[in-house]
Parts: sequence; structure tokens; C-alpha cells
Amino acid sequence: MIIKILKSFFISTTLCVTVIAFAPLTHATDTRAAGLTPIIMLLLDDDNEEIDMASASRFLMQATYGPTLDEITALTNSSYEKWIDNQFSLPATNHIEYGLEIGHFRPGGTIFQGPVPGRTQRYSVWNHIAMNAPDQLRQRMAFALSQIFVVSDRAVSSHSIATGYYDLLVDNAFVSYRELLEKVALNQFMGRFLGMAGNQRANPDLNIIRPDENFAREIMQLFSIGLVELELDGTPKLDANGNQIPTYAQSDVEELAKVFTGWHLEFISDATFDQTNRGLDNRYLGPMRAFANFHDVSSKTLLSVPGFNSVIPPNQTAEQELEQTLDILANHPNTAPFISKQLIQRFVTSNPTPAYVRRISTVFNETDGDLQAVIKAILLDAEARQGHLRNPETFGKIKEPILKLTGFWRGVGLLLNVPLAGPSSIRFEQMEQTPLSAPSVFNFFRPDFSPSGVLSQNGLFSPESQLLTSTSIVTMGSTLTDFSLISNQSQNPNSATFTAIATDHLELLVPDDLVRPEALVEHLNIVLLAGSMTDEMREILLNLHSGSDGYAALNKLNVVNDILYLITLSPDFNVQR
Amino acid sequence: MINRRNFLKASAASTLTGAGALNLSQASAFAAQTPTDFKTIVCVYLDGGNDSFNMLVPNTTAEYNAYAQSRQALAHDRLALQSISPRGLGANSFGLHPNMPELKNMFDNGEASFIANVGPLIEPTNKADIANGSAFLPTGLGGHNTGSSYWKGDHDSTVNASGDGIGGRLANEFVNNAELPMLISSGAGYDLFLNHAEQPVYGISPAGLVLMRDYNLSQSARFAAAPATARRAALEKLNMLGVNDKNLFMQHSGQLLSQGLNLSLTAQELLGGIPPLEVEFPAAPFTNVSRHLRRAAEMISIREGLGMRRQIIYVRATGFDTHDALNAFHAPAMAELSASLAAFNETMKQLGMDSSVLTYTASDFSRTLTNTGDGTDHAWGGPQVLMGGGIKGGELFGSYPVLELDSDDDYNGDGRIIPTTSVTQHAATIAKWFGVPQSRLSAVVPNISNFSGQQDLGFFA
Repeated sequence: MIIKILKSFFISTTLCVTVIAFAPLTHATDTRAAGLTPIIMLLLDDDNEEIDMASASRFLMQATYGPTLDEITALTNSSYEKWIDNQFSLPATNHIEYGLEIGHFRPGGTIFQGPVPGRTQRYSVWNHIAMNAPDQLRQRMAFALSQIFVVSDRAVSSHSIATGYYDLLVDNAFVSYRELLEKVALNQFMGRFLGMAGNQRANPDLNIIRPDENFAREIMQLFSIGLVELELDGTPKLDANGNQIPTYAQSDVEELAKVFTGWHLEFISDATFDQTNRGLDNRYLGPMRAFANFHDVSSKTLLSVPGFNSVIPPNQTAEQELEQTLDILANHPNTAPFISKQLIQRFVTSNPTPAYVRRISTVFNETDGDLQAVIKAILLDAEARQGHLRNPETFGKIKEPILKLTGFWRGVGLLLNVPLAGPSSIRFEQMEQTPLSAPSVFNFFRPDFSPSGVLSQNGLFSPESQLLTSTSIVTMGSTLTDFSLISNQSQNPNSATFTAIATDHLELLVPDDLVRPEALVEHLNIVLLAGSMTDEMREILLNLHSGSDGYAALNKLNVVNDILYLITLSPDFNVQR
Repeated sequence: MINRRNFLKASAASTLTGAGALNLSQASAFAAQTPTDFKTIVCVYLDGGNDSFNMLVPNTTAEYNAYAQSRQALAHDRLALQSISPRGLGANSFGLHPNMPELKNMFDNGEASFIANVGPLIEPTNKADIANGSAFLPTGLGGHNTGSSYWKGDHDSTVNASGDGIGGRLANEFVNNAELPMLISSGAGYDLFLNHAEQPVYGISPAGLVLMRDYNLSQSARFAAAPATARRAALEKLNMLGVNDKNLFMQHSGQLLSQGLNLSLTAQELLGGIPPLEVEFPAAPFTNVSRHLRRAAEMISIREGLGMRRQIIYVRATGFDTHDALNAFHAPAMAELSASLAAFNETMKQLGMDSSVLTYTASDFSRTLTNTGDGTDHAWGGPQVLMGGGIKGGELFGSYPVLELDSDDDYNGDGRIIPTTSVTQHAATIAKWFGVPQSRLSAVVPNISNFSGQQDLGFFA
């Protein structure tokens, strides 16, 4: 029995209501059903009603790299809002520091003075942090931001600078959008990736006909306002003829390209600015800096945004122009819905209702794009918490491969071995998705992708489906069990990826007669499926070992393997609702 | 002349015909064909926007000089070009990238041709119409997604809810009696090009054919309790629970997993013994194009054994968005493309399939003639490669532009070339060769009615 203090979201924080409730151990029950008076509805319709195990797991599936039994249990004794606020208070887990601490990164090599990770080390540190770091919401936010402000190690292969960029997203996961946009714009990896580093004013003598448009185009199309004008609720505006309205023209791209001139990496000088070899230097993780001699100082006309001067007068510095431009982009009416909707898609559901987007866009605008307020509003919104009940047909999303991997590892309770277990420890390749390794600045998938079949027939987006063929979804699912558990069990414990105790606790849940492992199935229902398992599914799992005459190697460990295998290849595990 | 609004509505309407039960009833209104011959198309997508005016270069004096003047430091040395003589255009009138000797050989042998200047258009468009505002232009011209929406789907990027592809629609026109899907993707996941098909996409990986990891089939059998047959039967039941769930994501996952499970088992049976290819494919570290084409060749090599009379294969080569360090990437990339296409072509010839396998390149856009230091920006139309498929080889189809800045072919003075051939016409020509009758052409290439003047570019013999 758990005693809870309920604090209304809507009423003064001094007004408290005490409720005594039983915390159900398994099935999700919705206490907000009919029969309650409106005032009670109001009290319960906040984030502080008692939380059962399934609801806690469901929330953590949205907000973390995957629910763990400990986190679920802790949340049932707390509230969603308290959990979020506590997450905000946790220090950021820095990937570079963590990599140095656990010995994956080398401090200073013979050539470079900075931390030196390779691809394997960077991925491994990312894994460790996703699995173990307490600041899960911050890390998930950084991951979401890395899919909006995309850079890719496929184009720029410095894993030090890539890690530095990721840490920038971690450190700034909860600042204002405007502040983050500036840090992203001036980051060296981004500068290198989209060509702002070394971009210079037109100089016909040097055969530079005009500035590079790459960053100018993508900061508008992908990082701020998008291609067409949007309502606050994220739906496209239409003109009198029913056509969508482009947000910018080629001429706007060309004007903006001139703004982003005269920036280069920290260690460059005027004399070396023009060298075509724009390498990166692991020693420097700081922002790019301005070079006045290479900046275009002509007057420019930018997009018109109410309340902001769209004309840049001549002879402004690169810094002044950057400030004015980013203010315009951050305050463009499109930015709040464009960014808010994508964040909702990353955390909660592929097809938020326009009303949900409008609520989050409003928070975005009223807080000047405070990402802390935005993510809190996204997770506490009634649609996030109750969408599976309110819109059961359309709510949810396909889990992207990385989140299946981390969700499986965290849910099952695998502990990564700290020593780097070699390339075999990295399973991203089999999952066809690796952090900061999208094919292009258009991320692993587009927010408006809709795969053929029932989803497109019903007009629903499913970005993550762009990564999934019918063959790869099966390969990925079976990889989880085969590589994570089976291969591991077959290896020498000293070289295995995970500690040997990984599945001990699961074996304890298998009955001695090895059939109908109800406790095991129920446990996995909570940690891997957020309690969504139907009775039909439960029966299929429980019956697997019932007619077991002649079954090979029937023992507790292998019963665990079999059940996990079925769950990771089930539709329920592949969908987050 | 169609206006943009009508075009967008027409596109949206074609999307709606894909909706739910409506789709099934309408789909049954026409009979998908059961072909008797074998044909394969291979789309080699050069992801990011290939700088194609450095792939196919004018080699007559005045035209080369205009090219060199516009491209400045990026211009190839004229003497280094792989000189070609397109039929009817004069000896040595064009040149290929210096690193493309294999493609030159195929062109000379009548095995390859080029489209001169192809790109996304809503309707035939010229500079005067653009200047006076009467031209309807694709939304977001110059954006990666604009180019790829047209090349892959023949629709405007604002019609994105549909997200359907030419390859997917093409597949729907044909009955596939083989046990593996006719839509094959290498290195690209469920790409837009393949979307909207009523049958699944078979994903192959450059690392090898993708099979389900079933630990009872590996040396780790001792880690399973239930036999594989029992586990698979249970999986199929779980997938059916998804298919019957009220949630649409559950339904989709259930269908995908169920298809994948069956495909994986079929593939293990059918693909285990693919005979090794005799031709050696080159290394291609810059673009990955070679490994994908090798896997494509393997899948084609067994098409008759599988009874797969139509195949639509999508191959993605990456890295072409050369805003910086253009030559450091583009020179090896062109070498890789040339050598890989040649290895693929040689394999098809050995298999006797060269005239029934059409390979073509596509890309988001070509790039600006002018440069930004050591790279180029997004532009519009440009040349593309055609190979095999019984095309008329050694030809240049369509009109090659004047590569002079501010010429009538230049959109805005930066060397963004206005296409003289649309991707719509390009796709329609291929669709007709593949066996789509005139009456079904607009179902596959919805924008073709805007190009009634020339629906077939005539590059097939």
C-alpha cells in the first residue's frame, strides 16, 4: 500500500489532497474513466495521480532509453512532474569526460592533444551512457536534437569532434532554442558538415563566385522554419487558391548565405583561411570564430518576421549579422510548430493531433523557446499520458532501431562490461542506425514519411518506418536476442560484452518445472512492453514450453532466451504506445 | 496548360486512391499483368546531388570554353576528357570525366547513353516563362527533398503525406508469382522510390544477404529450449495478434514482421546457394556503389530460377552533396561509378541478361556551374546515365544546355541549368519499356499528362 500526496497541476501548489491508493502490480488501469465528478477529474487529470507499474513503464519508455525495474518502482512512489523536475536537476553526463574516465578515449596522442576516440569507442561510450547515466531525459533530448540538428560522421570523420558536438547537445538540451541554435551554428563539426567553416564572401579574383548556400538552406529547411508556412498547430497554411505557401525562395537562400560568411575553425588564421584542406583538430572543441576579412559586409534583406528588422545594413560584423539572423529564425511563426511537432514525434507519437501541437507550440512561444518547458509540456500533456486510450487506433509510433536496442538492454537488466569488448560490442551495424551517423542532413528518416499499407492508407506518418523493410525488422528483432544474449553466453565471460550476471535474475523467475513461466512473462510485460501485453499474447508465450517432449536443452536459461526471442519479434515490442 | 493547383490536386487525388478499402476496390478494377518475359530495372541513386556537368562535358571548342569559363578552377583539362562521339553530334563532340574510361568504352560499344539535361519540372519550362512569372515551378526548388520527391515519386515535395514512389507504383502493375518480392533495396531501407507497393520490399545488405538470425540454425542451438518450428509458429500467432489489433502501428508491425518472417525462411532456402559471380567488382570506399551493385547482380542472376519476371532494384550511392572539397570526392566517386557500372554490365552480359536489365542513374539535382571556393551548390537539371536494357547506345538524348552563365539555359546567373527533359518523361519512358500500357501510364507517372507533347524520350531501340 502506497500513500501519495497529490498536488494539482492547476491549483495553487499549497492546496494538497491526500489519496490512499493501491498500486496495481501489473495491468494498466485507467482510473480516469467515467463516473468521476468534474472536480475530481480535474484533480486526477494531472500528472500526480497514483501511478501503477504499467503506467510508470509507459512514461519511462517515452522519456528514457528504456524502463528499468528500479526506475519503474521509484516512479510509482513519485509523480511524473517530480520525476521530470528531478531529471532537470541532475548534472549532465558528458561523453568526452565519461570516455576518458572509463578508458575508452585516450587523452592526447602523439599527433593530437585532445581525447582520441575511434568509431568503436564513441559508440561504446554512447552505449554506456544510454544504459547507465542517471540523466536519462537530458540524454534522450540530446538524441532527439541530434535528429533535428543533424551532423553525420559519414561526412566528417573525427570522432573527437563528433563527441564534442554530441556533448554540446547534451549540455544545451534544456536551454532556449535560440541559444541552442547559435551554439549549433557555430559548432566546428556543423561548420565542417554544412560548409559554414571557411565560407567566405564572393571574391572573383580567387574564383569564388558566391558564398556557399549549404548551411543557409538547411538552417531554414531543417533546423528552424521548414519549407512551407505553418499554423500554430503544425498544419500547413493555404493561400486563397488552396496552395501551400513556401517560406522562402532561392533568393532568400542566397541572401542568407552571405550572412554566414567569415567563420572558420578555432585554429585557422587569416593566412590559412583560404586553404581548401579544412581539416579538424581534435584539440579544439570550442566554437568557430569570425574572420572580418572574409565576411560579406554588403546590405542584406532577410525573411520578414513581425517585430524584427529584416534588413541588415552594410558594414556589420559577422557576429552582429549572426545575432540578427538567428533572432529572425527563432522568432519566425513557423519555428514553434516546426520544432515542437518534431520533438513530439521523437518522444511520444508520430501523429500528434493539431491541438497537441498547438499546446506545445504555445508553450514554446510563451517561454521564448525554453526547451526545458517544452519537453516537460510534451511529456505531461494529456495526449502523451492518455493518447493510447483517447486515440487508440492512431496513437503511438514504431520504435526506431536504437531505442529497441537500448530498451531491450535496459529492460532485461544487462550490464555492459566497462572494458571495451572490441568491435563485437557494437551492435548498431546490425540495427542499421548509429548515433550521429545518418546518411545525410535529412536524418535517418523524414518526419512526414508514410509507408505503404495501413498507415499510408489512413494518412498516418511513420518516420521510423523509413528504416524498416520487412526483412530488416525481423533481422533487427532476432539480433537483439541472438547477439545480446546468445552470443554473449557462448563467449568467455572475460571477453563477453555483458557481465555474466545479466540474465541470472530472469532465470530466477522460471518455475522449476520449466513450463508456463508466468512470473517471467509478467516481469517482461512490465519492463519491455509497458504492461500492454494482451491475454492472447500471454497465452502464446506461456504455452511455448508446455508440450515440451523432446525439446532440446530445456533449462531455465534457455526458457528465458526463447521468451525474449518471441517478445523482441512481436508487434508489441516494435510499437511504442 | 495545367496550373500548379490542378497539379497538386491531381497528385493528392492519386494519393487518395491509395486509401484503405477504396484502394483495394479500385486496384481490382484493373488487372495487374502477368508478364511472360523477364525485365529488371536498377535505379542507381547518387544521393546528395551529383555534379553531373563534370561527368559529361562539352568537347567542341566554343562549348568547352563556355564550360571552362563558368566552372573556372573546377573545369576539367580538355585534353584529359574521355572523348566520346554521340551519334549525329560529331566526332569527339563530348567528353566524360577523366576517371570514367569504362563508361566511355560502354558508350563507344553502344551499351550506354546519356540523357543530356533532365530534372524535376511540373510542365515544360523556359527562362522567359520563369522571368514573367507564368511558369509553375516545383516547390522548394534546389532542396534535396524537392529533387528526390520528383525523381523517386514524380510528385511535388509538398505532397509529402503520400510519400509514394515510382518503383512502388510500377510494381503494382505486375503480378509477382515468385516467392520473394520484386522490389529490392540495397543500402537504403524502405526508400521513397519503393514506397506505395502492395507487396513487401526485400532489403539486402552490402555485407551479405540479410537473413533472420535464428539461433537454432547457428552453432548456438544449445541456447534454445523450444525447437525452431515451435518458436516460428508462436511468432506467427503473435504477428497475427498485431494484424488484428485496433492500433494501426500494431497492424503495420504485424504485417511487416509476418512478411519478414516468411521472407527470411524463403530466402534461406532460395538464396543459400547463389553461384558466385565471375566478374570482380571494384572497391568503392567513397560511394559504396560497387557493393550494392554486386548484390543487385546476384539477385538478378537468380531471377529466372525464382520465377521473378519483373524486378525493381534500388541502389543508393552516397556522398554526392559536394559543397566542399568537390574534386577530392568527385574524382574517385566518378571512378567508382564507372568501374562499378562496367563490372555490373559485364556480369549482365555473361548472364545473357544485358538487354533485359536497364540501369540508370538518378540524383537530387545537378550542381551550380559556379563554385563557392572548392565546392558547388544545389542546382537543377543535368546529365544522367542509361545502360543496358536494349537502349539505343552511344547517343545523347535531349538537348544539352549552353554552359554559359546567364544563358537562356541558366536559371539565375549562377549556372543552375533549367532542365529540358523532365524526370516525368524519363520515368514514363522506362515504365513503357517495363510493360506498362499507355492506359496505365498516368497511374505510375501521374504528372505525365503535363508532357503530352513527348511522353516517350525514345531511348529504347
